[in-house]
Amino acid sequence: MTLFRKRLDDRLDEEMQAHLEFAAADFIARGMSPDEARAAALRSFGGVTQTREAWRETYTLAWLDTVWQDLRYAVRSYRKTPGFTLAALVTLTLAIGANTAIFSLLNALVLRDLPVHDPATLVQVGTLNRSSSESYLTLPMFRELAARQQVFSSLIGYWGNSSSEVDTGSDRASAMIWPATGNVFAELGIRAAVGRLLTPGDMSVDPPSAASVAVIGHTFWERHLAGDAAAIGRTIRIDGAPFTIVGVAPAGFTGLGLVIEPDVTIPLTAVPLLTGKTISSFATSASPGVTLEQVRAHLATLWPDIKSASVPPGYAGPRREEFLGTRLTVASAATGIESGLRRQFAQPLWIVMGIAFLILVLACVNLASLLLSRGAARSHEIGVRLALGASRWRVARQMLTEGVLLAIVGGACGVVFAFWACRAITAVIFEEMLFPVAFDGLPDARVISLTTIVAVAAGLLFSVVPAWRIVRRQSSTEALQQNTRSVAGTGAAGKVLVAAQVALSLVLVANAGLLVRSLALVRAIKTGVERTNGVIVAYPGAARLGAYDGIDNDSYYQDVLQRIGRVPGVHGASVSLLKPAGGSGYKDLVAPIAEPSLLARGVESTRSPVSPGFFEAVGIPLMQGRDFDWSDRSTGRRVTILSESLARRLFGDRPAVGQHVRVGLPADRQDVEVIGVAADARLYNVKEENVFAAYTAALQDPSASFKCFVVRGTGVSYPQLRRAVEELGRERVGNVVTLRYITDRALLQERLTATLSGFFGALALLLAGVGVFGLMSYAVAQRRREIGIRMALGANPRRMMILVVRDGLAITLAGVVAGFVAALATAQLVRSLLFGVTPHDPVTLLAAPAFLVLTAMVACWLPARRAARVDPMIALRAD
Amino acid sequence: MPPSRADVYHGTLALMVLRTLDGLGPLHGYGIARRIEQISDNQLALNQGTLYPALLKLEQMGWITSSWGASENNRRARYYTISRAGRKQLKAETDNWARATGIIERFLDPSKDLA
Repeated sequence: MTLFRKRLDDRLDEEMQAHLEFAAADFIARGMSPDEARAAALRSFGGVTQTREAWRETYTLAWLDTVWQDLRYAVRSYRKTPGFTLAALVTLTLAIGANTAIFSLLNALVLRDLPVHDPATLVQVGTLNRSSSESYLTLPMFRELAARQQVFSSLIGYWGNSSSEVDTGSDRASAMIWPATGNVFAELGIRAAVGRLLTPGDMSVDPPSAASVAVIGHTFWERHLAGDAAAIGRTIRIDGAPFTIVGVAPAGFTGLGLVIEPDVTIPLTAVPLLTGKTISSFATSASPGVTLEQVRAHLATLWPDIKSASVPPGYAGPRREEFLGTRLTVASAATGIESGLRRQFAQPLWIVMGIAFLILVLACVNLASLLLSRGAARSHEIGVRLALGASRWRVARQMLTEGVLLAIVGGACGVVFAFWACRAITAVIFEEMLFPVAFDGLPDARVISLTTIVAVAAGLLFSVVPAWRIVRRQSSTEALQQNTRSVAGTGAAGKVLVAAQVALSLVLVANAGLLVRSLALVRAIKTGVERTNGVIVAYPGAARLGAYDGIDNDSYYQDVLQRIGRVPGVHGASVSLLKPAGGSGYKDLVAPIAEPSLLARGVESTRSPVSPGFFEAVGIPLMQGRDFDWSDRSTGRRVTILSESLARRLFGDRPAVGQHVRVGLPADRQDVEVIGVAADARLYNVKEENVFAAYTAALQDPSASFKCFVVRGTGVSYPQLRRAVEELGRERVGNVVTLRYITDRALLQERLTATLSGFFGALALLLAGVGVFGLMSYAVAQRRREIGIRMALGANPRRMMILVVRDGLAITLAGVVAGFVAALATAQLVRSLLFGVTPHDPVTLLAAPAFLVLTAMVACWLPARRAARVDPMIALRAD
Repeated sequence: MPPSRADVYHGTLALMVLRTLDGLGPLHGYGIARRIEQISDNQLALNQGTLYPALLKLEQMGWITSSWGASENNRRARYYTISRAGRKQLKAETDNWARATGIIERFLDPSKDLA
């Protein structure tokens, strides 16, 4: 429209220029001086501005008028073919909706900048330890960095959100507490909804001090303080410690992450006021006026000094070495700090995005081919319009208008669908979260505008082929003559479009096949653990900060498990310091003490600290020896139970029980007695082929900070289970779920990609079938006369059927060949998501084309049957 | 004081343009304006500028077409040509006009007393 407008405006300018020159020349010829002539010309022309306005009004009105006409005409023609219209709208809704939904999630998770001031200047500084696991800066590191650095305008420090009990005076609630440095709000450009936010004056890092002030989250304020401005100045108690509310953060503020809206933000250094301890972990962000590379280079020169200045007291020897081996990581934090979530979902979402995009292309090609047949069927109507004086461009524009209208309506339905799909996928992703999730994955204004552009582009794309054919080909007489007889057909374009659909469809079906098969293989793995709902896992956490202080696990474990054991329905209860299906466990080298050769190398095994009763609870049979018992306590003799494979690997056929091994490097595990052998199990990572495991006694592993209760039972009441633990006052139970749920949950990525790609694969198959069906039905309709004549001359109906099916299959096979090559190439892209199948999995690569050929045969069969049933008399009489 | 010049009645400009193009073949805007003024013996108060939106409207109706061409003195100018649909329209409008003026004339004829 703008281009069009500019061209018309330029045209008027040039015409007026010419007009005035001609007029002036005339006046000069009549004896005026050039100056007089120019003035006279302008006078006789009248108002230049008025002319320009009238001109613009003319073309704008005309444009609106014809657009309106075209739209009305389009609606009328769609209403005449409700079946086609509905099918096309459903296709577009799913295709555009899927793209909108997935893109919206990707946008929210990976692409979108944090809604803060100047997000591009945010940098995350973290650390990697020797085994490359991510960590944060310690408080001394943070202090050293702040003192030495010259690239950041300021350093923000914060601690992860943690759950505490908040007493507002009127009610008590569990709330997410976010400790952060006082400059955080000012640096991020966040303004208070009410009152004031934290300021640098509220705390100091060096020496550590803090005012007992708190900023509350908007949701928390509304829910627990009735959204009352009088809340400012009130005192709340966080795990008993008093804080004064100074203000309310704006709605939707999620700090530097995307998921959690902090309920209460307190000064970072106020944390010791709660617990009497110092917080050691930090993430920092800051605003540099320089590039990320310059930041990296600058910090790299400071890093060795920062480290050596912040070695914790008491670290010496290998421990000190390990500390000094810590590496620094510098990354942009413009899109927020949410690496765990991104690691798990970004790649699958990108792949599903690619699949959704292919579906959209397929839908466009499908609609182009259907519209082409429709256009050919409408050639009579179009001929009439041309004969009545409509310009070709006008008729072509009509087709484009129809396409864009269809796409926009489909796009609008697609956006509605996307809202639903985003909610559903987000709900699945955050299913396990115990706190309210503030993650906003719904389509925002930018996503919706992009969708609109995509829809319009799609509409133009799938109607341009039919429109182009009209502009190029059709003369009115030709079209009118064609009338009902003729073989205008959809020509080569129709066949190419259908072959392209088959090809695209094959790519989608093959990829879906790989992902679905991969999931099936993962699921079919024998884990050695029962996947029943009879095993329950409960995750406890400290009842409040400091609740674990002075705990004596030797008695506490026994106490708490006895209490759980008394809950009705519980058959057995145990503690595990690793989360079942939690990915990986602790890895240690296990070696027999008696075998010097193995001692040097050791066998890499999962070390899993568990309590007595664990094997029985999860259903792993003990093959030899005994289970742990409560005498295997922290002060007792170090003992271990090996997995069957590990026992055989270490000791061959000799009995393993009674042997002595070392498990890893710690001094107290250099002589550990094997007391039992358990069956192999893939308990921590179903895909891990290494089933070497050394179970140690949980009570002999004081370093572990995580634990869960593994309970076997039937019809166990979760609230009773919770109460059994919580009554002891040490722990609060978070999630309680079944082992089956956890193992399924661990396959969330695979399930998500397999489900979505399977859905799209099925849709692709359907679209290809519709494409083939549409083309062949149209061909049969067009060739009715020819078929009638041939039948009248004695052709066999069977032969007619074969003819049609053969034509359809030829096009399908052309598409299958092209699609096969493309599928081979794209399968490489999903390689990283595959398990147990290679990208060139023969089963999938044979089955996918077979599916397509089968679909195409069914799609050909219906029109073929119609061809066989053509009654020569009726066909010939039809004209 | 010169005799007052008549205003261009609503809708009549289009008719004049079509008639001009029908009679003279392709013309540029200034040519059309001059021709209309000549025919009316300079009695019409035509603001020449108003011609252009009218031309665009006629073009949108499909009654005339236009393209760039060169004038007598080799100045680039846009030339307007009447189309087949335009001729049809001209014919229909001419008949209409004749009928309408006939009726009005009869009304205004002083020799007839309407009362």
